[in-house]
Amino acid sequence: MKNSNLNMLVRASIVSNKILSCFFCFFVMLSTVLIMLSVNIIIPLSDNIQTKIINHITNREIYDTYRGKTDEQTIKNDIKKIKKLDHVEDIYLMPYSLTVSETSGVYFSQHMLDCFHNGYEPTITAGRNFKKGDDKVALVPQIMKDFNESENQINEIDGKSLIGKTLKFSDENQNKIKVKVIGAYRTVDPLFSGDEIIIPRTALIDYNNRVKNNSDIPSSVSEEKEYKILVDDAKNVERVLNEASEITYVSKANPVVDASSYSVAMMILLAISVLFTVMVILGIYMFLKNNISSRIDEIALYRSFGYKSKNIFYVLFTEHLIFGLISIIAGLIITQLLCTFIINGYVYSLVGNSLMEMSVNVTLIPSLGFIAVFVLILILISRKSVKISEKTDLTILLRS
Amino acid sequence: MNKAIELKNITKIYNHRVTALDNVSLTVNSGEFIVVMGQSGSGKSTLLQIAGLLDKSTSGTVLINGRDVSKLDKNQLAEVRKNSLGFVFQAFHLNSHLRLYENVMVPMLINEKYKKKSDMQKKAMELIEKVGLTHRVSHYPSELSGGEQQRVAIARALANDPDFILADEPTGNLDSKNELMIFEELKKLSKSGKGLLVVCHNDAVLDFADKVYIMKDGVLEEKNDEKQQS
Ligand SMILES: Nc1ncnc2c1ncn2[C@@H]1O[C@H](COP(=O)(O)OP(=O)(O)OP(=O)(O)O)[C@@H](O)[C@H]1O
Ligand SMILES: [Mg+2]
Repeated sequence: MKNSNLNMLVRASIVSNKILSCFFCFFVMLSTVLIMLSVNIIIPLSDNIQTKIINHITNREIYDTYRGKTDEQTIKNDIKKIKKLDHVEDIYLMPYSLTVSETSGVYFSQHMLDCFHNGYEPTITAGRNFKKGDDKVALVPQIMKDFNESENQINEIDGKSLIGKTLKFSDENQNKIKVKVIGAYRTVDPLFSGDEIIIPRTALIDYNNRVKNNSDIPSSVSEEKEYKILVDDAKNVERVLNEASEITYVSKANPVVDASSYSVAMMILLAISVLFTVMVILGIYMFLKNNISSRIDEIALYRSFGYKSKNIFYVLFTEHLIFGLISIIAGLIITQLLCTFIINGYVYSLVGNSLMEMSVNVTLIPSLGFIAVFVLILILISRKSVKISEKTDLTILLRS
Repeated sequence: MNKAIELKNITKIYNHRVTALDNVSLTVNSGEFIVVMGQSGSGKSTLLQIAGLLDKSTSGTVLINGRDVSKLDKNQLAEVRKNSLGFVFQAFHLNSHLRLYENVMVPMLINEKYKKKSDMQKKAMELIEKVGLTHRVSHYPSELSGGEQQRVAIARALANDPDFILADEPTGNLDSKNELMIFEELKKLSKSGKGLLVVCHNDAVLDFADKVYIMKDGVLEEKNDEKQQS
């Protein structure tokens, strides 16, 4: 016997319980919206927490600092050993950032000349990033606040407008450097204070050396050499720190970002989605139970014809599966509409233009997962309901 | 093998208190039209439920076509109901959202004998023709009179070609003209070899019955001719 034969009965019971069915559909749809909203916020949020905060580049870095007098051979040997440690991705000389003034009149206030940390992927908002072999080039902040002392006002300088221009910098000892602006970068990462002019690391090392050779005042630049050890994952930092400290003196930087407040938000969302999932399970259960008791005559009749529990299961399950799938798809569409027109605007107002920037969207895998969980719950509850209906007294057919 | 429903020394006690059937024995052979009459509350429906495997007796044996059903599990009982028994109820119990022929098809849906839906439809049409409702096959039950609905229910009871038809007050909701039509329909069935067990209040059935039993306070007696006069 083909179960699909029973579709005739499924059709009949669908048209016979219109109001109850509408209620069921509405319930499933609403639950879909609430659960999928929470889940689709949790996913980018936890991804952000993991990659942008917990694994933020500064949480994966270890300092390896040498006094200026340390001989090159010792440093070379240390680096060789550290490079061989497990989980070490890179070890490199980090030049110091230097305070400079622009002399051609583009900027008025002083700024920092800096370079990107290895392993950091900047977001370029205009122009292009550095290429290998780039030397006298620079990236400027997307927007930079510049204080003009003579006019006593703060100008906002659009980084894009500087692309192609040449900037001339000079430090307090009149060491000069000329760079051509090739692009602008985003400054939302707490790595940046927002007024750093970025030049390639090799160019900054050169400039560091010039400053060192050309100054009388002792400073970090002249006294120390700082290497950075990049660890593959924040969770391995302690281990590398321990192993590296047996080789030389190393230390860990203070974290510039902290995940705790975001983790609380995520826990709340997680709790919400668990709560709604439990509600859905209870709701479907109550609904099916109620449905069975209101159709006790119909089910008794089928049993009097010799229908077995598996046949009754098919009718009940299929009916609710159809309603469920239609409602879930409607719920997913509504969720996406809510995201597009309301949620994402709100999320942007909260975390837009920050490290935690994210957008909320209905995605395939969570949606399929939700459908799978729904079907599973429906199977379990339908089976339970059919079990309950087995106790139906068939003699009601003769008494009604 | 003789086709028969055999009830032997059946007792049914509800809730440890109400004795609805008291040591009742009854045989329904194929081709027999058996009627059980009696006052309200005397145990007629209880007897039919036990004979139709809709309920279990407290003691006694039920044999269907020689097979003791007391040892059968739920699914096996369902199998026996599907293959051997057809029911007609006082309340018709038609599905109001299915057309007549679809209602007749409902018991066939689980019968592996029918390979295709079109086979079921063909069979349903034949059965509806038998009860004289060919011109209404595509109607819904609510568009039919009570008598017509009960004829559809009879057609449905025949869907899986059962050996026996069990009917509890099939004419209870009908007027006397429709009542006669239903009895004629049932008589035709017994003539075609089906065994019939019909519970009825009305004397009109006596003209059709092969055997009449009277139920009184759970005790079954065969009605003799003298009593029939009164
Ligand atoms: N489920 C039940 N629980 C308890 N007592 C019951 C149950 N079903 C029937 N009875 C009792 O058993 C007795 C026989 O009932 P039954 O329904 O067989 O009578 P009946 O002859 O069919 O009556 P009627 O002509 O009114 O349909 C009655 O006293 C009734 O109250
Ligand atoms: Mg009765």
